[in-house]
Amino acid sequence: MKQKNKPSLIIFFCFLLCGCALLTPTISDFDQYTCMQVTSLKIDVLNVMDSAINNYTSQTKLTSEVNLNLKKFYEYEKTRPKNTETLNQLDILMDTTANLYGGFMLRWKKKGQLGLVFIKEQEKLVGAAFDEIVKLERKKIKK
Amino acid sequence: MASDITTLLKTIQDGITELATQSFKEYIKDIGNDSESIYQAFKGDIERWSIEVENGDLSLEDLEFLIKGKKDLIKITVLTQKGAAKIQLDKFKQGVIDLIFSSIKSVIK
Repeated sequence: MKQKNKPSLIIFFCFLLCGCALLTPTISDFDQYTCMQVTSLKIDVLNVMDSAINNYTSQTKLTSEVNLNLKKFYEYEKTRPKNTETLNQLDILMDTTANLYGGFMLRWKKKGQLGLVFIKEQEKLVGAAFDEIVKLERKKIKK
Repeated sequence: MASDITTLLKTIQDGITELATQSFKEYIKDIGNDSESIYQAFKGDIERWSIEVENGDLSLEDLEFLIKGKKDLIKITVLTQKGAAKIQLDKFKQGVIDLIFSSIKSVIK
């Protein structure tokens, strides 16, 4: 390559870099804290669900504590940029009008207590929902 | 100079095509595997729940709740796939940037 061609190439290079600047990430990076929290919350939530064999009113201390931790985690996730998918997953999981953890808790509250087979089947779904959240997080780019 | 840039652009274009093929081939394969496993899991759950209803271990109300729960779980799985597509796109973009840098560096040398 001739020396006189270098300025033109540098201009071309700068032009391309400007184009590259538009290539901003479309989703948040991997977060180790999120992975740890989801794993920990999964255990707590399944533990609460196990208690649905008992009367709801006798378990309010335990349920309030876990629900508060879930809300704290949700608030943390809200602070992460471009985190729509994880937030939407948590919305579905916690929504009392849906049929995962939030819906289960409302049903327990309304019915007083729930059957063991139903609890165990519902735990499989809720557990799998937590696994999906971790699965997405683990796929994210580690910086 | 014009021919240098033409060659450079051709190298980048070919590289991007190759990168796109490699980046998304694996993703499409993953989607196929996920869809199959969702179907198999749903089939297995419905069969088991039906037996549990017949045995009286689950009420019809329980069954309805579980089926709706399964539907919500599928929504969550779809969101994982949607996120995975975005991650793949980001990796592809990063690959394009690396390709452009290395192509230009080789021409400038």
